[in-house]
Amino acid sequence: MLLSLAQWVHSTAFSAALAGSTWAYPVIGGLHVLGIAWFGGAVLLSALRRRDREARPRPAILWIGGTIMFLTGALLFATEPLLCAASQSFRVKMLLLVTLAATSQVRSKIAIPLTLTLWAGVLLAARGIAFF
Amino acid sequence: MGYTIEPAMWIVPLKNSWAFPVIEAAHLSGVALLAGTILFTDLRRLGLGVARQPGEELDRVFKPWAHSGLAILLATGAVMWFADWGRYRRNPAFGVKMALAVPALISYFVPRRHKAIAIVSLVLWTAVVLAARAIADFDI
Repeated sequence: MLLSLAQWVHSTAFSAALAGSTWAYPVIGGLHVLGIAWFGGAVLLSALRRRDREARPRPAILWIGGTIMFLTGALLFATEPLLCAASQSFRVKMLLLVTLAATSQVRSKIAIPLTLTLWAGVLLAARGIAFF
Repeated sequence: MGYTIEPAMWIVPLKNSWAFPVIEAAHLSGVALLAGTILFTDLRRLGLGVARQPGEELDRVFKPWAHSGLAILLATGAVMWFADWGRYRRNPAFGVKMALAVPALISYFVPRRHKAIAIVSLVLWTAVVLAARAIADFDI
């Protein structure tokens, strides 16, 4: 399924234009990493809000970081679809992201350690795409 | 070069092992902690409505996280540099990153009460992260 999706994306002119561009990959990759910084700061900020009952939480902050990472991530995939499809790390990362989405509504004591562990796994697997 | 730097021999084999991506991932989590807290403190300073807390309270709560991030960045950064120092010395993006990281760090330790300093800090840290990411694209 992932392979056929990758092959289809690879066949599009958009993917070819991204892959042929000198600056697209470095710029999009840079924005993707800036999204990680935004997300890290936003997570700490929303934790602070939860403690301070007076301040109404503003989840938009998290959504902005998440949207930056999702959009730039999709563009990175479009630049190198076949490399991603061939990478075990990419599959692990996608599975972890699906798990994160599936467990996002869990409300219990283990929710925070579970989420943090899953995000740490996402980061590790993401870095691994360049290697494995 | 009139001198050579001999990295500890145990550290060099790291560059071709599974440990390297693990260290890189730890470095990225340091970015999330340090650059992330700086980003939101600066945005708060500019009154962009990301936080209702006073700037001083954000500084106080973020400080331990930011400093842990900085410690992680320095420790993992040093290990990566010693493991593959030849690569980083030749890499132009690494040079740019380090040249930007010095004033960026200085701007972090300057009291950021003034809006101009918040803008300088935002620009510098954004440039540091972009240049750091570009190291992978400028291996010569």
